[in-house]
Amino acid sequence: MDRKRVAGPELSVAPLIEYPVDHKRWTPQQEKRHDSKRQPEDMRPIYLKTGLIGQASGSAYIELEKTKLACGVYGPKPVKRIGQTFSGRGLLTCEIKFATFSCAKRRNQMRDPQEKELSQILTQALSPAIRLDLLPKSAIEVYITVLESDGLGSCFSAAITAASVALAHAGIEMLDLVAGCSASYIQTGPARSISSGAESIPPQIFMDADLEEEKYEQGSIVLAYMPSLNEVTHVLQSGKAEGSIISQSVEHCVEACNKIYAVMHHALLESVKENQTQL
Amino acid sequence: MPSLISPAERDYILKGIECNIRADGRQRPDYREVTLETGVVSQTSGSARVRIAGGTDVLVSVKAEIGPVLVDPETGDGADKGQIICSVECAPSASQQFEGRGADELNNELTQMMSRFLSHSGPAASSFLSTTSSSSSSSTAASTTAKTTSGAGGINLSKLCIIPGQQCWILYVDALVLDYGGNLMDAIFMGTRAAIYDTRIPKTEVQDLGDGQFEFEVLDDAEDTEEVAGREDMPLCVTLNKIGARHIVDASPLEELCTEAKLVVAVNRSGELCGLQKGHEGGIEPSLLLEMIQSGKTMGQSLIKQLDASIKKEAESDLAKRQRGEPVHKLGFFAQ
Amino acid sequence: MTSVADAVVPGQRLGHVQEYIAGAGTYALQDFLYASVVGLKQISRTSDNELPTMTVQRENSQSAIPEIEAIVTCKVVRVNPRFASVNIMVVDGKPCKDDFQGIIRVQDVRATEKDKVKIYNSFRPGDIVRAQVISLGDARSYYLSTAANELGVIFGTSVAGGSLVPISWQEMQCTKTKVIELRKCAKPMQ
Repeated sequence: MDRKRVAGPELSVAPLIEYPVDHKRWTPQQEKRHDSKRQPEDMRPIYLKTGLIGQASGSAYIELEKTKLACGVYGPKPVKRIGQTFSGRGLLTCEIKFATFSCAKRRNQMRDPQEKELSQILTQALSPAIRLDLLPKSAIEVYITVLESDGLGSCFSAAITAASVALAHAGIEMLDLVAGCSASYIQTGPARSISSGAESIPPQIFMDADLEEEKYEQGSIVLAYMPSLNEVTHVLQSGKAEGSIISQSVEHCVEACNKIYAVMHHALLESVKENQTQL
Repeated sequence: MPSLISPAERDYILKGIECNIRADGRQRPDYREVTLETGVVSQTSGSARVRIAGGTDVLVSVKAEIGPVLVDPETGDGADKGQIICSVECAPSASQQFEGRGADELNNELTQMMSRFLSHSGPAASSFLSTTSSSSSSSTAASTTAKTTSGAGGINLSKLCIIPGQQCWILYVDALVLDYGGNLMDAIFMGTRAAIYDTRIPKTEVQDLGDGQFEFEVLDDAEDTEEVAGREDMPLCVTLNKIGARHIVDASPLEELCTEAKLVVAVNRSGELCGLQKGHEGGIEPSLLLEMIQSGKTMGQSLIKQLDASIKKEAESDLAKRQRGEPVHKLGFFAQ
Repeated sequence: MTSVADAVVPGQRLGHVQEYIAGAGTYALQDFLYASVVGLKQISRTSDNELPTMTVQRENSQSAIPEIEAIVTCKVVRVNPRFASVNIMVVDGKPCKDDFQGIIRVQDVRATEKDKVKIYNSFRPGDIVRAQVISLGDARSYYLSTAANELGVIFGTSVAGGSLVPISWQEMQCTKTKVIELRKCAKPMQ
């Protein structure tokens, strides 16, 4: 190492750590969730607030304990991209960016393939809800910055929720709000050898899994759902699972989305209330 | 590859599907005829070409190379595992729209989907957050690395390890889309399964030199090679397109333009779901979603059976010809 | 009149289609009316034999976008013999956050003697024009028209830098030098 340029501190101080020294890493063998107060079907508490970005037409900030992200919506505005042909429908573009410090590993400043794909998925998840037919020749841009990520599934579902609240906050005509929800399938109970997989115990469905839990997941699902129209706008499942687990988790997610909808509803009403008191 | 459709044509397709008859005479759950051929490119460890009557033409190659293992610094996972790196590229010759950067988005979408379905990390492997963070900025087709136990992808990666903690086989699975006729994803997965079946990995001999030093030698014997372990458990995917209130499989390009929402269902031979992804800009009702998953599952399983039978048949006929000393003729690239 | 209790969010069910007519900020799907924006709901009754109209007053209005037949206020940025390019700044009295591009083609400047129109004698860069959107146009710009008495230049600056006042429907005079310049003037509105 270049000692001349990288001058280390002369004194060293014990690092501030979150856990006591005797802290054991969580494993699913404990038959409990990482956060022992949560039941398998429990989500983390959600903090959702609109209007924190002054420049944007609409914005929202969402926090699920250690998952934190901000979303800004710009538009409708004229389509600027050259080479774009005439379109009778509005153009929705989403961009999700993980801050370089948001994950365990430092993320690159350049958009990586995963961010590109998530952006595309986000567009697919949100466009069924927006009345793009009312916005010919216009573009709506949704930008999401992930400040802190505690599990990709929860991060992505929070992005969907925040983006649809920000869109509603921007006054864009929508058919419904879109709530996003994630779940992981985790094999709990005592560890068993892989070879004796015949007597398989069905894995547990942990709603809104965090990063520690995601490390042990067999599979995961992210579902985007429009509660009052009863329509799934996106589903993304990875990992291996039985059909029954899938249908069960879809049902759980739909249920959870209804709960999230209540939070979104509340956050938007709060913003109306604030406006009223200002008048 | 058309990009626009007239309202009249859309209506024609929609009404046809409602009556269970499609423009080319198929019914809703019918596939087009699939032509499959393995061992088409001599430079690869395994290759396959899949053609769906009506246009789609995909060439999948598997190249096995030796490289260092990828170890997760936090958990220490991956020290005894090989890797699979997937990429999909749409050749500009397939469609004018793929020219230049036109295919970037499609390439990335297909690559990510393929990596997720083929190499999703099993339990206790690191989260898939870190798996895709190694970006390939220069190449046009985005590549993704992933580590797996016997996860959804089926392939036994531990068998691909040569020296734990040091060297392993890396399987590069590259799909090249030569022509576009709808239903790319299913064709890519069929091609991948066939190409992996065709893949032979040279055997290696490891010598222990003591002090944790190892040396290995790749045996240069064409007859003495290994098949890819766990290939039977690889998933195949079925794309269901929701048009109106109905859903169809194996959509043609025009039908894809009428699609409100598509659902890609990856399933393995024992009927386990290995992945699920919605595409396009429309919604699906939860009850219909479950119904689509179910029909995708049964269709995928029968597709695996048919595919395996045809791979086996081809391998047997090739073997019989070789034993009789006859030359093996492949259809080649310009055969119809 | 309105209170926070009337606040609704997109997707919220407002009533049955047999009870209300869907107004701004709402939509009807199958048998029900739903809100499509965040805001306060209002029910207005026009006459006794008609159903009352349900509207939702936007809480946070989205930036205005040009629609066909809307009256827009725009600024001329470039002129050439075939058309004048403009930036649309206000649509139906509502400001746009971002300027939309529009063009006034030579045949859309006035309603009569269209073949005698010269763009140079109708608009100059910098003029503020009131126009009507006649078409969504091509990929880039909206098509606008000034073929009506109350449409045309409403504010302009002369070559000498003084502001112009209309003296006829196609002439304007500089307040500083009294020089007459040619424009397609809008009829001043009281």
